[in-house]
Amino acid sequence: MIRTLPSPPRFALRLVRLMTDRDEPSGAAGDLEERYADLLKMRGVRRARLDCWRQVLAIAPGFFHNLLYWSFQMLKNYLKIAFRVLRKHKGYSAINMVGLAVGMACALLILLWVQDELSFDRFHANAAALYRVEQDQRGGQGIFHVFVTPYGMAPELKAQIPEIKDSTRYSGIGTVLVRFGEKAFFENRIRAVDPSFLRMFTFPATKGRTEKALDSPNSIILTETLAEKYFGGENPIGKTVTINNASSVVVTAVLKDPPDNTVLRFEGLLPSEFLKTQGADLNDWSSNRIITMIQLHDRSAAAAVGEKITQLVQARTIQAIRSDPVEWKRIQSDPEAKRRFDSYRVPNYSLMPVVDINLYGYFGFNRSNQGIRTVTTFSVIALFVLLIACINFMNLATARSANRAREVGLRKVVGAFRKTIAGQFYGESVLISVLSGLAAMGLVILLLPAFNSLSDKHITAAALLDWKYLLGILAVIGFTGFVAGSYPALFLSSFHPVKVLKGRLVGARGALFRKILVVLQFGLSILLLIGMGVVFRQIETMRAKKLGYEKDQLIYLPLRGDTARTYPALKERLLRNPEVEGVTSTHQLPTQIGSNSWNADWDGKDPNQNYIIGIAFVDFDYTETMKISLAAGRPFHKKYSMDAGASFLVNEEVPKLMGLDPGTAIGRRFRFSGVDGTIIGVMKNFHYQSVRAAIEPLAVRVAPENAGFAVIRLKAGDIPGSLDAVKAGWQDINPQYPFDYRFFDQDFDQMYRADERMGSVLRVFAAMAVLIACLGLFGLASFMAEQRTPEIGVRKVLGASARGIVVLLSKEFAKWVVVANLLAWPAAYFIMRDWLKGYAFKTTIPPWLFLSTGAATLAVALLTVGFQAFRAARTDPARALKFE
Amino acid sequence: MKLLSRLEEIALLSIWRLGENAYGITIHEEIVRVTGKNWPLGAIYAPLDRLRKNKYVQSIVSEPTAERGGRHKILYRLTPAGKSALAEIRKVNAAVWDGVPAVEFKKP
Repeated sequence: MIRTLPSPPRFALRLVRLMTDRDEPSGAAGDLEERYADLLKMRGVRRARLDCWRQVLAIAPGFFHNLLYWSFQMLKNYLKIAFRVLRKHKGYSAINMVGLAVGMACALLILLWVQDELSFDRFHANAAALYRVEQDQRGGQGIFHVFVTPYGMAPELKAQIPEIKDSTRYSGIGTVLVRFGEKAFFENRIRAVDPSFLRMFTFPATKGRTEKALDSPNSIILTETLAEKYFGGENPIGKTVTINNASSVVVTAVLKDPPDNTVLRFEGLLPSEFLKTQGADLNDWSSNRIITMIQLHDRSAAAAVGEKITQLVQARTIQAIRSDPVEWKRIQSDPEAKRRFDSYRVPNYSLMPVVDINLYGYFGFNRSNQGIRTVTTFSVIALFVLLIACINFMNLATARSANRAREVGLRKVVGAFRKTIAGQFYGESVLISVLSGLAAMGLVILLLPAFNSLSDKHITAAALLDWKYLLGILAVIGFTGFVAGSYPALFLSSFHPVKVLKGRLVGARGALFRKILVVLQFGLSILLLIGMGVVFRQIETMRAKKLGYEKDQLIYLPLRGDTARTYPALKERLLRNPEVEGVTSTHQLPTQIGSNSWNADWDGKDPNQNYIIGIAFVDFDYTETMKISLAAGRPFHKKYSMDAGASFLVNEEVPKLMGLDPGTAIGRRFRFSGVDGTIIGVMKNFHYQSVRAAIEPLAVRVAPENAGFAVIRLKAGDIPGSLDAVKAGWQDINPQYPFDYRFFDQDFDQMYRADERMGSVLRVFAAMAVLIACLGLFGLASFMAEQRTPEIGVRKVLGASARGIVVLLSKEFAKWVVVANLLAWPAAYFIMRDWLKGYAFKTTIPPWLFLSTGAATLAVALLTVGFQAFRAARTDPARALKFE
Repeated sequence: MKLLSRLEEIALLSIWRLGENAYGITIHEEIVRVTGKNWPLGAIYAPLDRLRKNKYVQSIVSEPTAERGGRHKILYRLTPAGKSALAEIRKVNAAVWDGVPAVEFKKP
């Protein structure tokens, strides 16, 4: 009977075997069992087990050391062979490395860009716990997502909801005139925040302390940029500056400039109290005006907190209605109103993580998540380019495998394992990819300035040294080396030594695989080219899009501070110039009217359905100055007294909501923005927001007291002269404010910047992809020509013409490129159709785009191959035949 | 030849001394005995592995043994290279202790 021993912990034994029995059994596991049995008898289970683990710990370090040592020895050998191979085939190696290096450089640049996009607002110490309060408003047109909230929300949320650790208001204050002594500039990046803002977000101070810097209502915090602008070398702390020539505030701290990767772009901070000087009531809950940011104790509570905010707002709204006795009585007496009151629900509130705003943030009508779309598009492009480069490498390596088959055969005969041969080929490909990686990093550093201007970033070479990025580089190099080496490693190592040494070279399988790779490579390039074509067409479409008004010779002047009050005088003064054709005003940026309201009402409207309609407060002469044509009715005119406030012009979308034609809408009652008025005209649709977005309903009414911008149409002709005239007029009326103007054209160009940036990046990388693909084709073709040298020689001796041989060699490659086209076209069509869904106004994807891309790729491929074929065809057949 | 580490040297010597009965436990006991230090058992396998990779020792699977419940042990044996290495070590040690460097002693 065999005695069974009590067994030590199985896991420990397994670890020991894993470490010590790598090549041959060491006996360690058996020894441990014996020792365990002895200890068990003498000292008990606990001691024995403990000792067993102690032995495992003692084994580990030595074996890691040994493992590293032997791996290093093998690596040295592989590298040595790899270098020899590289030196022997300089031409192929060069093609390989250039292709890979360029491909990797592209991928690395894009990786840098992506990393920068992803890094937004992660530098805050509390980054993960910071949220922006957002809401989904519901109405007849669907859900309308907004991130503005009432003034009173921030402090109330903190007081009522225990999960919220801190909260702050965050509000723009428009453009203000900041003055220190003689120095006065317009600033549009000063924000109003609560003192908690600097507790929640990490913006370190260089001078002064942030803790109490905003406690006094008369304080201001500057960034280094602004401090330098106003104070130069002086210490700004304690100095007084005036805002809009009215409020005096004391500089209490200077912050380091916020980094580029934040959505909170500000140059100065004022306490929220400053908003009172602009007429704001900080406890107001009646309308959504500012951003509310909160910090949670525990971020898993985010969904629950959103829910709680919804409940809190609901309760407040109900409370507000109940506390109005007149309204409450009316609701109680009218069953219809009572029913509506009972079923009333406030919008759903939710929390948007601050770190996600850059990529996923979107707003209202322009429901765009451009950020994440661009990031994914770029990542895919990077992957494509890298893949094309890898395919190059694999292609050349497999092609050359014919030459190395004998080497592999011989190695196998003298006893190499398949594993070691695979290891050798992996070693070679990793070496090439490491070398290419180094070259790529050099390229990246060289190309960074160009890339920055292309992509509108400020990435420095120092970003390359970030450990995450280095890890990324290593991953890219490793991935490339591994993928690129896989085919040769796995395929070459499978050669049967006898067959190979007898002279039977690679079979049809390798050739087929190469064809598939070439097809894949060109397919990807074609995809990029077509994608690029569609992006450019889309940009052109948007550019050519009729705005609905004439943007040429149209300028606007921001009316800042107390210049708004001088608007009537300014208008009168400007109209005296013959160079000025018309003057009107808008309350918001005329190319970005963002105000809107749900409270529109008209006769016959379904009381259960609410619609959101944009609102613009303008001056007389609005449609005339902008040159907006009317579909029906008449423009505002001073001779009708009701036009000064009680008449509405609407765009074509509003009659649609009302279920009317433009013609029949005229004269209808229209209650909106607190006015019970009449529709007097319907404007043809025009773009009052980004051209990317669809045109939404809009109503305008005359309210020049709200003028925020003066809109001026100049006569065509001498624009600089007209501008001088306008400037003279401005300085007459507002001597204390500098003259500042913008052309509508400029704003318009700005709207395309994201798309244009994407287009130009795409163009560069598509060009790279095609270049790399052709490089690969060039190498492959030259290899094929070399392989077929004897054949070509025989053909020539038998009377084949040079042309015939060129055609013979080119035909094969042409076939592959055609197949690549046929495969890439449908893929490109579906991808780009999907991409276009992000635009309200889409371009078409015309068939000629496919055909011309196909023709272009074919031409480039034939040119590449043809060059090689021509060279092969011209060789002296006698020399060619000497090979045999 | 390559210079061995002190622990490798002692392990090699122990295997030689133990002859037929050199396996993990006995080698460990021997090392503990000659050095007078209480090494953990686990610490000897890394040097054993190196000795084996350098072909100074070879491992042999023993016949099934009763004390292990019918399972075998892994025994270690010196190879000829191991024996000459020991001889070399002895010479080197003697030379070092004499304080007179031998002519054939070269830096590796």
